[in-house]
Amino acid sequence: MKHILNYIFLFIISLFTYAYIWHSNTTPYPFVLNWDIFEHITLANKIAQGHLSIFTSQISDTFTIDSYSPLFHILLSVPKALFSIDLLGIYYTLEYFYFYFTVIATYLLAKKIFTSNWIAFISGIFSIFIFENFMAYTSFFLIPQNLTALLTIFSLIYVSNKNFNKILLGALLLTIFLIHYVVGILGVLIILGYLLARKLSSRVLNWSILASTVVLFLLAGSNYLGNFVLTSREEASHFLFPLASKLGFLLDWYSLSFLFLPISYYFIFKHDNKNQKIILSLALLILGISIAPFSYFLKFFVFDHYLLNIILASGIGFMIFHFSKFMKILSVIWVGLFLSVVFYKSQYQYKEPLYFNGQASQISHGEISASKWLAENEPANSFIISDPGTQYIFEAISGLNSQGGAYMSTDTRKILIEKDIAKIKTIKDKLDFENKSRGKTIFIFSGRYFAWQKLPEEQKLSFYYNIWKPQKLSVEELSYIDLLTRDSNYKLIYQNNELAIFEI
Amino acid sequence: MFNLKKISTILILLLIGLLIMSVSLIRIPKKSLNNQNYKAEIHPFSISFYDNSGMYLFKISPFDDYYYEKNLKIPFMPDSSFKKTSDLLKEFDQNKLTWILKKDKFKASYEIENKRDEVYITRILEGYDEQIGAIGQSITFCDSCFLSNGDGLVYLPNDHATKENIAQIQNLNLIPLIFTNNQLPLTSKLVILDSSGQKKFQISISPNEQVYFYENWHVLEIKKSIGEKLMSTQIISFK
Repeated sequence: MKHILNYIFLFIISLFTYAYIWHSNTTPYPFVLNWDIFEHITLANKIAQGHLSIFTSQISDTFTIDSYSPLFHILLSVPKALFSIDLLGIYYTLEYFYFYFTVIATYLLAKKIFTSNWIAFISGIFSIFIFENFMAYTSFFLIPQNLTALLTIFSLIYVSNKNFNKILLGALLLTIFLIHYVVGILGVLIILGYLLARKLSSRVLNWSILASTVVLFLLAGSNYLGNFVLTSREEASHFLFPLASKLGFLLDWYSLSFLFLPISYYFIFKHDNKNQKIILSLALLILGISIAPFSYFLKFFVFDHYLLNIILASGIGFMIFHFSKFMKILSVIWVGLFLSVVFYKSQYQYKEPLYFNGQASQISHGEISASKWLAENEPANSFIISDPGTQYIFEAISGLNSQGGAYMSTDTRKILIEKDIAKIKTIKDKLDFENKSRGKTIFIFSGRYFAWQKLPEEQKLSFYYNIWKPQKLSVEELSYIDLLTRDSNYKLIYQNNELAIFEI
Repeated sequence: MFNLKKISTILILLLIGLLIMSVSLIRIPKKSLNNQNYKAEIHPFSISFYDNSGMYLFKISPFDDYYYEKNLKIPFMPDSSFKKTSDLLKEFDQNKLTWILKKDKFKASYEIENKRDEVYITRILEGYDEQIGAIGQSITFCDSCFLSNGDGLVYLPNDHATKENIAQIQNLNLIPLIFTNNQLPLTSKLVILDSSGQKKFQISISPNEQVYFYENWHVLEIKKSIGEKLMSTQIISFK
């Protein structure tokens, strides 16, 4: 009964947090705050149309490297293929259930490890309100790296049972790996590490806690030796941060909740519970790996959204262990209150740069209407040309192809920098794309396009700089569009106050 | 019942919770006002406006604004030792940016409000002498920008009317209007153009306002008579 009540409470708090604070008050249906979903929608659309390969880069040029198999996208394409449902709306709804699952996964793992309803419930509260608003985005963004972490945690819960099916475990490990190769490898190592560590004695596990602590400090200290880019991708260098910035991110996400860490550390060290010692060691190790001086490593923090939250929650749980039930309830309310302030700050910090016309979103009504108009009125082999951000969004929603979207090559970027009206019509001839000779060429002059053109050239050539939010057309830009309409090479086919679409 | 251990635990939990909330509240990014045409941000000593590409457009500040008492021109804030306060309810209004400054008994509030393509800048004074006849609302605009009447004339003070400056204005197919004594001729609007002659923003001028232009600092002062209510609203358009 207590269990069911906890689920209900966590459901209500998470629903309020998601529906009101995160979404509906500023980001109504079907607006999104997750930039990455557009590339996943693009791939799911392609799969629904029958394009399938184990290499995502062979399905769509939006994917320049193969970080994962298309498993995630095959699942996402099912509603599209069967019912032709709009994936933007699907995402809007699906992300809440994903969010609730992250909360439940934290709750269940904490319950398994600490066998305490109170610690499990406080862990659930932590999971609701701790939002990593940069790189990890564990709780709100349904993307492959985060689904991998969620599946890893459910697998940990499963293998924490004495008797588990090894074939099922094998299938889980394979799925974790296929959903995201890199994050998946760490997920697999976490599960195997847990199984191995369970065979060790409590005394040895105490040493492993100390060793993880030393590794954490060594990896943090190694930031002073330099920062290392692990791939040749141009954007990788933008994901290298000094230690102070990484600690700043942690402070943004957790505030001073780390003050509970020494308390849990002390009690776990003192108690003779092997599971608790393993989870603490893993949490410290993953924290160390996440702040190591390598590009993209902060993404590995997705696992600590669960493990570290449980450890911090256990610190509070140990503190209030001897309290009466009434005092425990008051304490949990107090925890919920101060963590909701932490959450308010981190979600505000994320959403603030995305406000457009009083709403925080990476897409606007104008863009959705225009994309749908294209999908309904233009042949499927038409080709979109615009700035990287506009291409990225329009390819996902309209289903029409573009060259690379936000991940277009430097060569394409160099061609797109052309602003001269007389020469814009030649862009099509310079680009190299499928169906070039057959389909229509559609040029979208959006507020984003003009904003992108105003960026310094080095930013226009970089993958890292996109126009992340919708933009309205200015008078100057409308005059430019007006000039285009007088040129017989351009045929205006659609216009609203954020964009004009021409057929070239 | 309660013992010392429990009481200390409660106090520690309360204290850590308060610390957690304080750190989060302190680290909330400074509020800005976003519109499709501009972004307004509060800085330590001014509110600055930028266009969508991040280009600085103009700033307003209590150190540039004046009130007129008899023949004296006195700054809203005589020095930088003011205290910043806030109106908590307005902090959550996405269409408003509020900046309240206090110095002794003086309180100057700046409210920036989004209304479609326009921004309303309201200055409210409290604790000042009620005999104030007028206030001078200053706008410091972008260095490379020109001040125009919106109908092809660009204001150029006599002491800046060099051949180069005149040629630069004429190259943009605009006509320089040379004036003296800092005071501009009567007009219903002022338009700020960037160095390529593109309009950046427009300030509406009412008949009871006089405009002074200090080219050296790129400061416009719009002197306006005010009534008993020590407040004034300026409308700036980005259309």
